[in-house]
Amino acid sequence: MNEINQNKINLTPSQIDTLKELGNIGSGNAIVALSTLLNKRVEMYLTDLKLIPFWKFSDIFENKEVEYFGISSKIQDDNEFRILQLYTKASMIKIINDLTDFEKIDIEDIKNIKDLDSYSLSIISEMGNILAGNFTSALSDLLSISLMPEIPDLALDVIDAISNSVIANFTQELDNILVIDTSLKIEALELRGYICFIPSMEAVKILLEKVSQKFDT
Amino acid sequence: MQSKVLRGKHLLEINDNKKKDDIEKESFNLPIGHKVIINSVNKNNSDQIFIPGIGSCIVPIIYDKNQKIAGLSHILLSTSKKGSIVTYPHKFADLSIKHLVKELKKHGAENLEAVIVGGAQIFRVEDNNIGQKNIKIVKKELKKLKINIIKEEIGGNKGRIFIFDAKNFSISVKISGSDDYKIIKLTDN
Repeated sequence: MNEINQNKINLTPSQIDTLKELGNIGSGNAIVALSTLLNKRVEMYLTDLKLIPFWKFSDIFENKEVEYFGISSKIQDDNEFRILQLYTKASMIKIINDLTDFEKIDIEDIKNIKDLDSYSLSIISEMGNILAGNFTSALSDLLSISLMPEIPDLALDVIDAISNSVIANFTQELDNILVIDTSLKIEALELRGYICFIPSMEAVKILLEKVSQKFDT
Repeated sequence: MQSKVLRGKHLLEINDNKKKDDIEKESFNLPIGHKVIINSVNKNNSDQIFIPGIGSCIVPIIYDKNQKIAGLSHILLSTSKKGSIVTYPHKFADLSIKHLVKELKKHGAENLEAVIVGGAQIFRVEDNNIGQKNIKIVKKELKKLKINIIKEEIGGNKGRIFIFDAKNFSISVKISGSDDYKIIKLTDN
């Protein structure tokens, strides 16, 4: 018997493969969207599934001393899934400057997410939304369920500050979290980034049920 | 679950599953949900406790400045759910402070004072106000135990990079993205 309850998660190897594959399909779709949006070649690394204690979450990420833009999308009201995207600060500002005809932003002026004008904020927000939307639509199509990301929440900070603030929402009762993460790189923009799919245990259950209904595994 | 490591003249004591290797380094990271006790018998030591980013989390530093004994924890959330089994007491403000003070007293600490760091709002429209709740409960718990807060580096909307220097018995904090550390000395001299 496999148990997925509040405090304990036991997944079989085939369930892990299934979830990993869902993450792979989602992030693959999101990365194609990113590549189309920016018209750049995106290198994508293998998707990994991690079942880890909450305090190890920030260890997934490298470059602890560099600032990242964090884009956190909630999917469905009840906090069931979350997609966290992280992109290096300098390269995001490059992207904003490439897309705008107005006055270019100087990276030195941006110390805080509040220092960005609404136009730049909406570029980041929209980029995050397109990627999260492509991630979830791949899953919705596959499993015939409806998944819509909400307007994403933004942050500009070092990775530990961002990641720990995100998992605080998940771990009131749980000590372990499930993370399906893909890291990516765009050489031309010197961009490094991560797309993390963080489902709640309830969501894991729903996903696995849907998969077995559809594909009779 | 407890491991004690005597490094130099410091007694570093760290809870939970952290591997010994992690503590053998000169400087080590204090992950969320964990605590560390520093019992300095000798001034000539270079141990550093490092936190690469405190966001909505909060870090209380409770110390006896005369004996140079300090305890700190990296707290994630304000309150534990009543009646639930808690594996990581230092994940929650309402449990962590009590535990830390108890540990410190075991080490012979008296006349405790505190510095608190963290509790920022990292995301623009965060709905749960986790940082503010953390600040509130940590302050409440410290008040309950009659421990004065000497200095606080809290709130705002940027993360903080944190170093506890056992040699100088001081704390260095900087806002992420800035260059300058603010140094808080815990001893009078």
